Amino acid sequence: MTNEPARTPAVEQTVTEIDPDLKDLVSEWQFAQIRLARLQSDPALRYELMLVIGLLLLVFGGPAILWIRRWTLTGSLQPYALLVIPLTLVWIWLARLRLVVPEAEPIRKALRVERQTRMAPKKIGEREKTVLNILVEEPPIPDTRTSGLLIAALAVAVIAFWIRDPSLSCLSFILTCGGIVLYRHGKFAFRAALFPFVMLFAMIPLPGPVNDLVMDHVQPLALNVVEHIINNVGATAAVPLEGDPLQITAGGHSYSLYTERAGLCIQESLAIILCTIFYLSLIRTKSMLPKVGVIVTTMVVSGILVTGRLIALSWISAFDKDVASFMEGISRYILVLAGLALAYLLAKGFKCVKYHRWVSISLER
Amino acid sequence: MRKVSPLGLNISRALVCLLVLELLLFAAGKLVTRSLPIVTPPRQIADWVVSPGEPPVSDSQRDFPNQLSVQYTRGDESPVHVDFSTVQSVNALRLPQKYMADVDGRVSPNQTAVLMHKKREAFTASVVQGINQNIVVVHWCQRPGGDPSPMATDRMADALKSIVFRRPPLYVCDAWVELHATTKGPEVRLLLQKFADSLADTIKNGG
Repeated sequence: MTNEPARTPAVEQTVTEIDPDLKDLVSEWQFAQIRLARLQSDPALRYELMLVIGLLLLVFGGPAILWIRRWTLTGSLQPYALLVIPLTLVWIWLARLRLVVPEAEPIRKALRVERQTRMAPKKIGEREKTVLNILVEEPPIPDTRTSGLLIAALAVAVIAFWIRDPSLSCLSFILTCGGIVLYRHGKFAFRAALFPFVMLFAMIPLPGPVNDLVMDHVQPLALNVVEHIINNVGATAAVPLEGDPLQITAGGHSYSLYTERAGLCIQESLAIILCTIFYLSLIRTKSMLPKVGVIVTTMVVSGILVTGRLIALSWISAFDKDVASFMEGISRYILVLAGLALAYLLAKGFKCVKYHRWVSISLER
Repeated sequence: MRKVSPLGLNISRALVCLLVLELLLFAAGKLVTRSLPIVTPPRQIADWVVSPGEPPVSDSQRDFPNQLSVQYTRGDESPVHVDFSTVQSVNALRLPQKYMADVDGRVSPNQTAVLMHKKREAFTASVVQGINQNIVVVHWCQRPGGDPSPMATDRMADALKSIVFRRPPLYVCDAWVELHATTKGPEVRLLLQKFADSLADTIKNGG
């Protein structure tokens, strides 16, 4: 396996012979739809895709059971990781036109640079080149394939299978997927698929000691905030030296809020932030600032929801412990739905509503 | 016959080789683990007699390590549970409150002490509180022929060798008693210290 230039899928004709199907196109995304249709109708490509996916499932299916077990352990920070692969697949589906024409972005950037650095003005009658013109009329742009990442991924996989460590096997799965894209399709395709590749890293199971370190620092902070708020609104709350449970006394009743059993909802906050980032990756804005604003305010809102939930549970427990125990479970789902709704409203507030042109939803509209 | 591209064939071949390697490494790992000696605990410590026991209640937090669990009983007294786990992953190095209790395992800073063995710091004694159970546990790490250490972090090199090479194994050892209303804490701690001393000597002597 060596570096070699890659040809983009050869569906275009040379400059002098333009495919009749491509003559009346008005945008590169229509071109992408035609290319996608041709690729989908290629039986050899479908067979190759099914073969590779089947082999990936066989190789990583067993380790995946260990990942799921690690994500769903009591006290784990990562139940949100169950969403990562479905969200990745949804992203790939929504962005399929961009992934099928990965050279469109480099062409667009090259055209922008050419326009900005042009010394002499264009001649009269000479048309401005567009991405579509270059895709249809000019020879395919050479791309580079490399096998380095795939080889590294296989090496990590061998170590992971010997040690049987879920974190390493998950890392090797992610690197193998990236390595396959880089080797089979080249750097343009890898760059176009960079977001889902990076998002996959969120599902690497945290080693237990790392999970404990994070929770041992975050839990006292969250409980101290709740303790102060409760103490200032007419009830009494105290956190013992061991850091758990939160002892609440209100109206002559006392209740112990166990953080692991009731849940601090840090996991749910992370799920909200993950979904927000996923949504924002499909949105077009002039600069990154609105997106950063949405993410930061979503984090703040999640923190407020987490604190509000603990306070609400504390108050309910003062009246009825059974209802409070029941609400411990349901309120986690309510928090996620509320968080997602608020995140969407925040996105609208920051004017993050227009999808990228390559998102299938915007094209269908 | 459908013609897969040469690149696709290379990728498929690489994945098939990886699958074969995975199965071989899995089998080899099982063989090595089976051939590893787990500690042979003494049949009797003072008046206490050994019998098969149960692992810690939340052992899933440690990825169910390769282990030997026994209990020592004497008449009607609460049994002393003992567990020897081989360090085969980073998760095996978690603190006892994460896997000894049912849920919300926690330890008060006032209720943790380091115990000595032959004039060296050897064991950590702590009271682990869960929701439905409280236990006193003495915890240490030790490799065969070596001295006990209170924390696995004192033996990171041994832990890495145990994880990567499987030899020499590093054991995470726990001896614990469930606390009830009538249990006397200081007596239990002395009892567990006696057990830990005996078991640590057994591991040092290659038992």
